[in-house]
Formats: sequence, structure tokens, C-alpha cells
Amino acid sequence: MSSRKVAIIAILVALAIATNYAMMPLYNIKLMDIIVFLGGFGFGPFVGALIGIMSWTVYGTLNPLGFSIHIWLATMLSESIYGVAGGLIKKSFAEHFSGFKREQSSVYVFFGVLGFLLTLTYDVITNIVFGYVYTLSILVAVIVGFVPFGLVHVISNAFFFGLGCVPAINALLNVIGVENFGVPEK
Amino acid sequence: MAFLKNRWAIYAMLFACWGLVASFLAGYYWLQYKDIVDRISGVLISVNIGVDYGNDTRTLYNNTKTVTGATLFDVTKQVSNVTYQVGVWGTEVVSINNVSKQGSFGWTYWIWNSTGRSWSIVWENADKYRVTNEETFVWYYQNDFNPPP
Repeated sequence: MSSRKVAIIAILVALAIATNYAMMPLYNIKLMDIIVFLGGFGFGPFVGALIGIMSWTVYGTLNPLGFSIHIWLATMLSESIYGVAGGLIKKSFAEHFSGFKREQSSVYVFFGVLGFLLTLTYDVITNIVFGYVYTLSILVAVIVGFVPFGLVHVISNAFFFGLGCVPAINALLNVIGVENFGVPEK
Repeated sequence: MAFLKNRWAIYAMLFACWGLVASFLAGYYWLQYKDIVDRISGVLISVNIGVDYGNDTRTLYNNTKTVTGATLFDVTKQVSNVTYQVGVWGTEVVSINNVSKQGSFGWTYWIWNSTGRSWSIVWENADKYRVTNEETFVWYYQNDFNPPP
């Protein structure tokens, strides 16, 4: 891996952590998830997962809301879902698109739906762990955890992913170079 | 990603997202409803209670609010001053609003039969009879088992 890629990965981790702290007053609205997704999209599922884990290692430890090792581990591992998904999606898109120069609304909708589903998965997993840690009924923890904070998280991420993925991926391609992205040039 | 060219695939994805959100919201409000029902131990209902003292005076307690599972005895105690005794035959109402049983005079309760448009006696202890929504009862002070006027 080139030093340039390492630097970009470090910047993505720093960006994820910094935006999380900056957006703390906006409960459950965060840019970390899309950043982790972009990391996976740009560098593969393993690196994407690592970006998610490293971000939560810092943010979960030094968190004003408190620390719980079970929840910390759950959030750390669940966040990696975004990175893994980004890496897997990249492989699918790389065969069919040359970057994201195409202005197709369906691509935006797809990313919005993907963000929605990934966030729902993340919230369900973390709520299950929360219910287990605080000896609540798992069903109650999952459902009550969804309304309203889970719903805010899911809708905000659907919005961020839908509108932000295409321009962010284009920007990432400009930085790391299309030739390094594995996308066949037109 | 050829499916992205099919608009129906897009609609299906959006519909699936809507379905998931709607399911979670339905589950959330069901839990809220269940919590309220558990806390008030039933669904709110209303019944009509009358107390006929047998001398052409009758006190009516219409639209008395109670919850499902409550007995006529519970509702009567809720609206009036009741004294009772517990014997081999169960709970017997001794007095309502300071009108006590004396000699052959005592309290019977009747339920309004809307089909037959008449009062029917209930051969069940008041603390065993569970009221249902919009039933009408009257406690009748008499020395017989005639229906109230």
C-alpha cells in the first residue's frame, strides 16, 4: 500500500472521529457512517472495516455519553459493516461503471436505500446488545430503540448516502486516481 | 447493477424501506398501547349504574368510567357508599348510601335487557359479575324479586 493511500485512510479515520464529536449535539445524526463506507468503497472491504473499527476505538473510548465495553465492541464491529459493504459494492460497480460520471437518479436512490438498510442493520445489532447488557427484552430493545433515535439515524443516513455518495466517490476517485480504483477507463 | 436501469426495481427498494419503517413504528405503538393497558389493567369502558331506594327515588350514575375486568361490585363502590359482608354465599351488599337491609328488605341488582326492553335479574354475586361496555344496572331496594319500575 502506498504512503498516499495510508495518508488518505488516516485522514478518513480522523474525519470520522472529528465529525462525530462535532455533531454530538445532533443526536444520532452523523457523517461517520458514510465516511467509513467511502473508505471501504475506495480501498476495499478490509480497509473499510478497519476504518470503522479504528474510528470507534477512539470515539467509543473517549465518549461523553459513557463507556460500556459490550456496547463499545458491538458498535465497533457493527460500524465495520459500512466499510465491508462499501468494498463489496465497489466491486459490483467497477464492472459496470466508469466512476460515477453518470447522472442517474437511480444511482442516488440506490445509495440512499443502501444507507437505509445498512443503518437499520447497525441499529438492530447495537440495540440487541443494548438490550442484552441492560437485561431488557430484546424485542422491546430493538423496537423502542428504533423510535425515535433509530429512525433519526436511519433517515439521516439515507439522506446522506443518497445525496452524498456520488459526489464523495467522485471526489475520492480524483484523489486516489481512477487507475488505482480498479475501474476500466472508457 | 443492471437492475438500477429498471425503475420498478427502484420503486421496490423504496417500498421495502417504507415497509420496514412502518413495521417498526407499528411495533413501537403496539408496545406503547400494551404498556398503557398493563398499567391501567384493562381497556376503558363506561357503564350506567342506578340506585333505586324503593320509594320512587332513584339516583343515577350514568357513564361511569371503569376498566375491563371490573366487577359490578367494584363499580358500585366507585360511585356510592357501600357496606358489605362476606359469607358462605360470597359477598353480600348490606347497604348502599346508608340504606341498609332490614328484615326482608334488601338489595338486588338488575341488568337492562335492551332486546327485551326490560330489567332482568342477575343470579350472580355482584363481585363475580364482570361489567362490559355500556351495560346498564340498577340496585333495587325491596323485599321481593320484582323488577324495578
